[in-house]
Amino acid sequence: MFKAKFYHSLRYSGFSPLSAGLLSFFHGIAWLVLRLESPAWQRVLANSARWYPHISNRPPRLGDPIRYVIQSLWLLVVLPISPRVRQAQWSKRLSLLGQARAWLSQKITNATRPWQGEELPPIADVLNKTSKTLRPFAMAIFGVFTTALVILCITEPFDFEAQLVFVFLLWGLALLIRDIPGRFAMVLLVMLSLIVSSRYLWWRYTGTLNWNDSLDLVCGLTLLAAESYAWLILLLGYVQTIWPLKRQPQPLPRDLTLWPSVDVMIPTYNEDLAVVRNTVYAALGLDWPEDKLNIYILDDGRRDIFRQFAAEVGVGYIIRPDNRHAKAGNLNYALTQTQGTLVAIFDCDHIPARSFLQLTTGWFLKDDRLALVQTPHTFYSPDPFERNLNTFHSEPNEGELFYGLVQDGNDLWNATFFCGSCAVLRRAAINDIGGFAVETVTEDAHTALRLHRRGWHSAYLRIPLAAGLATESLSAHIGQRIRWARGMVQILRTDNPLFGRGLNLFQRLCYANAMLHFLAGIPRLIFLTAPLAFLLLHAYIIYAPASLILIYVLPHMIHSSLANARIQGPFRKSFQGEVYETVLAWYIAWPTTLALLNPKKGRFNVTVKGGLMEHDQFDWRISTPYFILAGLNFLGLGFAIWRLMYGPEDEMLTVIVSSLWVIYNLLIIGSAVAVAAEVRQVRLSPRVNTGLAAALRLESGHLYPATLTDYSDQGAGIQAQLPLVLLPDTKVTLVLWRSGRAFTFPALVRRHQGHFLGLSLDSLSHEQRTDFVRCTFERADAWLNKQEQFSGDQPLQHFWDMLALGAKGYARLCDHLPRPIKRLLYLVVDLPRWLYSFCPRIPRFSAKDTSLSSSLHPLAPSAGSVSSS
Amino acid sequence: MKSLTLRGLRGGVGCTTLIAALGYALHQLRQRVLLLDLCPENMLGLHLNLPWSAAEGWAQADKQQSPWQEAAWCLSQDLWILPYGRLSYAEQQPIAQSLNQQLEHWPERLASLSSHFDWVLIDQKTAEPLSLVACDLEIRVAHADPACHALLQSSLPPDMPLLVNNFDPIRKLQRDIWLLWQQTRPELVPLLIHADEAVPESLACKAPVGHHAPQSLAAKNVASLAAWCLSKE
Repeated sequence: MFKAKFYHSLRYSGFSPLSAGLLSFFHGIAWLVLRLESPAWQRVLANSARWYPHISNRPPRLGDPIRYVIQSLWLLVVLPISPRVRQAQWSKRLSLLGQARAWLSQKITNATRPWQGEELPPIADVLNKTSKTLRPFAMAIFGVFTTALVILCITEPFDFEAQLVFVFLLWGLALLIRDIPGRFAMVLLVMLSLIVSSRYLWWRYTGTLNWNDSLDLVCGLTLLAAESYAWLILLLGYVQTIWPLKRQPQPLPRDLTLWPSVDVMIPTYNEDLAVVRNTVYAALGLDWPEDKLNIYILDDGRRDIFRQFAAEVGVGYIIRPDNRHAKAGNLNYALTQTQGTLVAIFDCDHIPARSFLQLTTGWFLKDDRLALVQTPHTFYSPDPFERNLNTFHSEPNEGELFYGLVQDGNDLWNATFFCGSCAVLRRAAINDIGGFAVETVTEDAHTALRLHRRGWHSAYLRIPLAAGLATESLSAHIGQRIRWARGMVQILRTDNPLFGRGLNLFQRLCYANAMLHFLAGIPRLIFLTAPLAFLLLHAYIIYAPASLILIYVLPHMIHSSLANARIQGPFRKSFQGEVYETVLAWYIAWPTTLALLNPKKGRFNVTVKGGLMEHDQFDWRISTPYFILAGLNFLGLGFAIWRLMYGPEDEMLTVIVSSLWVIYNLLIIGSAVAVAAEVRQVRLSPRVNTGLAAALRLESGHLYPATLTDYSDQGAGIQAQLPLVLLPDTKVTLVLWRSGRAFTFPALVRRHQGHFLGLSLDSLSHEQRTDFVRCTFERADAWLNKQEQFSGDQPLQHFWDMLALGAKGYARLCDHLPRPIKRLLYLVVDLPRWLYSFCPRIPRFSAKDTSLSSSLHPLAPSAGSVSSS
Repeated sequence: MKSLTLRGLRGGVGCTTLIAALGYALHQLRQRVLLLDLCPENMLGLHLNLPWSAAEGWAQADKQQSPWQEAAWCLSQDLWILPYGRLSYAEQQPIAQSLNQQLEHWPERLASLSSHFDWVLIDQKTAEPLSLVACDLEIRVAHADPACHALLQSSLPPDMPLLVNNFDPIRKLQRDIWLLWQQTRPELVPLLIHADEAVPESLACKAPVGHHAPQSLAAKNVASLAAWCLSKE
């Protein structure tokens, strides 16, 4: 009877009669032989999820009896002895090692306490204390001595052993000082990295080129050029980011009449009104004297619906006779139609927080020559990288490094540049340079360059005060980057920041880095194919023994990632840049080269935002170049095997090193492929996650406290404290508070699941929409949570993460392949997986969950005397 | 022991209901609470599940010259209520007179209980110009409506905390008056009791709102009020 029930339940869950019969048979045998009804066995069965974690939490499978036997044997025989002993030994060794390390780092930290501040260490004090006449001499001697030492470190040729000792010494030093907090240790790490990298490059130039073979030479020089470029970018990057200014807002005077008048300009071309609307509502709610704030929609699309909307909400609407010079032209025309002292510019999807103007304008009053205050661009929707890799809000995104660190570092050198949106500019300064620059497709950076050339100042405030929509697809994202790359290279050609009047050295370097950065395409492609030159063509690109290559190139990589992890820690995951660069490399290589040759060519293409993707899809078109690169590298791997088997004995190490490089390249390419597997985007208006207090008022008059978990301009997600049963299309009222005031918004229930409700806010009036934007998007702290600190400083962990991502890319590719190929590949993948399913697992030990009993007691009055209570 | 009373700016602002709810909320915060009803309507007990037919109360005990302490009801451990009791209109008069004449009468009685309770919450008639029993914490209760706004201009010591009850966020006038009071009334208690249907419903079920509908917004508001009261110590 019992067995029959088991059999039927198996049949019901889709087993064939034969498998179900077999399983039932084993089931019966187990009950016959093992006395499963006894208390001891029942305890085991009750905890089966713990002892048999890989079997008990899923529907039964045919091999389960064998898995149970293997796991039981393992639990009984192997587990009790080996891990405990081994663990004890290991933990003892590890704890000793850890203790030694902790002790050492504690000692060092204590000894270097004076050097741990944000300012430079006491050495500078010693120099300052020397008398004025002596100081230049002291500085000069000091400078000459250190320069000589650095040159010696870089150029001194070492044999293998000496280089090995040198490398290990520097590496050990770096590992010791990376634990010391403060700026001094960081500068030291950067110096070490520069010395090691320069030494590597010097060695490459002087000792690794084969001048006797033209193929070797051509391939070697190509690689060397790419490496020189990488070295230059590394150097400029250090200059740019070593000392972020961390500027604070300047308070405004108490007297409101001293506050400057501001024109808020919202240029738009083809974006939806739904996108622009929120920005306008938010602009209307900016905390600024009403008579000193004018808002304008600059509509290059000349749409009636926009004109109508502007009239309804009472903002200015400016159109121009022609559409020349795209956004820059649009802004220039608007400048002629308006009069405000300051101009705040928001892309039409960037929603400012109410405090935007109060926090940014103070510096304009303090500094008469200040032309620009830029704030970070943040995005409340995931960009294609974040969406496809599922890292939104959990890992820093691409812009984080630029807006978190690079711009802040630029600010120290008065070289922060305009990014086209979320910025305030001084009208007089723009007029001084004859309006926004129109010659290139990146008018923003070019305008800033001109401002700096004319001696105007810029400032950067690293507080996210506005947020917008990220590009919704990878192709659009790449399109945008192509535009930026082309524009920056155009500036490099037409108005090179390294030459011309008006800039100081560091401004030149910062601008040069920003522009050179976009030339990374071709060097990246060279790195991705370089080992193939040896494996396929047998060209010695680095004409040196493999072991020597290793002890030169590995320190170069290790030190730069140590230094970068220290500088960029919270703003970027190490090696993440590799993935971004690889995705873009192919696509920016050609336009940048073209722009370098002929800067006049190239159009302004508008970045499309605010779209949705209905299905998961794989962007085959975008990823074609990566398939070609991957194919080449796989071919290289094949050649490597062939060379290992039939090649000369003395080349073995070189082949192995090249193969490792190829595998690394394959994994990076794989991560680029992973990005191309687009995850669908279901909502037209992306939701912003939050945790605001709210309340829900039902038609019946009941009010329930709730949390606003997410919102968009069209809807809101609510988490109630108890499961409310509300049918779809029930009318409710959403109550939100802002600075002690309550606001109510009529809403319709769309979805309902347990504690969670999805509301739609379709029927709001203009006034209510403004209120809603003020309660949500526009709160002064609305975008601050974007600044969650990410744990940085774990280069090794990030390295493995990136390799894992690469592998995932190929797995995802399999998911999107045509069915027959997919079947075949799955067979390859599934066999090991099937075998692994038989492997014993470590049992799960979880804390027991305790449930809180309700503390409610019924009120049961009973007569009594109070004084005796 | 601290004594607390709520005084409506006018009648019908919900003091009795609020006292019952507040007493329950304080008890939830592990306070020892005595609720004392000085109103001849004898409504407080109804909020706390006393039977309507129960005629016992301190007033009746006084009339019969029996110990007033024994008219109390224990609702739960450390939550007690001392109702007025049911008296005819004629019987109420001498009690009211003695209340008015012997102002120290109740404070003395309460002092004898001070070791047993942390809080005594007193429900007394709104219309009297001064409290019959002076309390450590007296809170004026108002609706955010024009009548209360007018009454506020003339009445009572201005530093007495002012609490808005029955606030309906949907009504624009109420929102505006709340905003006005926020800007002009420093004594405003920085929290609201919202107009929640759960409040009258809980009276229909003869329970304080925190007991009948603990998840409702009004119950949460009263819990916040209780915490605010504790912070005033």
